[in-house]
Amino acid sequence: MIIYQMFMMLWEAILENRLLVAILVMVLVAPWLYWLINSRKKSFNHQRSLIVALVVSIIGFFFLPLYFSATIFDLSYWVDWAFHIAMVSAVLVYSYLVWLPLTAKHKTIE
Amino acid sequence: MSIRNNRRDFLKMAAGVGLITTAGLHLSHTTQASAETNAVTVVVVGAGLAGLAAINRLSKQLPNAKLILIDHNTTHRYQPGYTLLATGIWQSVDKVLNDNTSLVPKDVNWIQSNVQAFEPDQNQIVTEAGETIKYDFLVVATGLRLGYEQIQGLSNSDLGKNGIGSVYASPEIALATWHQMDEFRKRGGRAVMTLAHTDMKCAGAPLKMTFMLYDRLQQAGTLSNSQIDFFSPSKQVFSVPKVNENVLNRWQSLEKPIDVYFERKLTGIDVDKKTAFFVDTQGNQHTEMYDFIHLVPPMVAVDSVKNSPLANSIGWLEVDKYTLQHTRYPNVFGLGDINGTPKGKTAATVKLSAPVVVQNLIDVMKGQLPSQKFNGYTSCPLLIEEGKAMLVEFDYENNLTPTVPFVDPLKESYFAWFLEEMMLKPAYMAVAKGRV
Repeated sequence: MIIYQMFMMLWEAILENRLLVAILVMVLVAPWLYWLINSRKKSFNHQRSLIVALVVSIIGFFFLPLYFSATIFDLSYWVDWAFHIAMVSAVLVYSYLVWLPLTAKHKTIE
Repeated sequence: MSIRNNRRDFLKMAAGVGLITTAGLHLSHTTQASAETNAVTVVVVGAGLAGLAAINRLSKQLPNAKLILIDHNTTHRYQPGYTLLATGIWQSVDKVLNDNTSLVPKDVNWIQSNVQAFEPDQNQIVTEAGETIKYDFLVVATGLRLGYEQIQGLSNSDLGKNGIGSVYASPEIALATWHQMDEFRKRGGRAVMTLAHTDMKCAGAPLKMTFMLYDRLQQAGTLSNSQIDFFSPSKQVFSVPKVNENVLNRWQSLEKPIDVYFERKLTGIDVDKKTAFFVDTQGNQHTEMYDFIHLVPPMVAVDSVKNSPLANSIGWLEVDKYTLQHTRYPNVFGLGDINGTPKGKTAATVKLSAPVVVQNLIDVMKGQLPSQKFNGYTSCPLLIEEGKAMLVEFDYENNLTPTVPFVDPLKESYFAWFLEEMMLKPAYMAVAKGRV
């Protein structure tokens, strides 16, 4: 029941923030479409994607609370830090997935 | 095992999880159609959160019943968002407005009128349009009425002007309240914050306004030449002792403490002279000058309930506080602000009480006794400063009942602020649609 309620609230949160969600989905899908059309034969550059994703998440670490009308200085409780780190981790994974198809390179012949 | 097999197993597992989830979603709204529930007329009065939650649940659980919703409002107002408008967090009233037509189920007969009279002895109601509607079961979810007229010298057109704010009246006045607060914080001065002497919906809102006003003054650099005074008609500022103590301690420990005057009931206001009038328990009059005032109107039952046999001695709907069934008319249930219960005039109350009311109504419909009991759950996300809030949840017995067990309800957090700003409206909409 709790999982059902969380799912319903998450769905409503998506509806409430549909513009943001649509943008995030498009930003994720577009690079993969590009990869599918142009770079399918190239191999992924995991290292470069990870570096870019790390840079994005570090920026997110400091500036993400601004989106919620707060600042990094408002984090004082351990729950805040746990939540913030979870959010930043989500940003890391998202950025990595966005950048992965964009940093694909030609396979090297060994 | 090959990669191909692994992938196939994974897909099978995903499909299984999907099926289980879908089944779970379906089961949570199991229909309860039976001979007793067929061809029954259920009328829900009010299309606020409580009325919508009830009608959406009834629509799912009683597919063969004749459902009627009565309310003239076509626009739904997300009232918990008013404090965010009134404190400058949200800048547009559009954030709190929704179209009611998208929230009312299609199989419901929605009569866009208000109820003029409840006639429970005849199992009927009369609308303002003069229509008489018979019912087998009735859910009263009219909400309450804001009694601004009880503040002498005040007219509704004064709200949101000349240093007068009030978070409750409407989204537009909530936003105008922020404009007044914004003007006030530019120069500072004396702020007078009030509380109603009656039962209140969202009793935490005046406290949020006080905390946020302090924060806004601090941000503007005008705190040093400002003073915030809080006037309470009782001996407390919040009905839950632990929360009351916490709030008072916070106010006293501020760099510029907020002075609290107890047992001062607001009676009137001189708009031109920027003066508010209070009376204490001995009947003594007190006059207070202000540069900014936050008014909390007395809150009373709507006239149609107050003047009906459904009312208790002070006008609220007379229901059993646990089953929410009317104490004298067993086919009548109450939901939301209109209930004459000791606590619970908030959206959070509706979240837990709507399933109780609907199930108890179905039980009675089937000739059984109400099986569900409501514990009085109420929640109040108290804004402490921009970026921090406390998620206070409690029940009839004043026990703190945190939903997230490891989060201290009396400690301010960014996490609670995030919930208030980003997740409360989605949760609210899920309740309105009868999904949670």
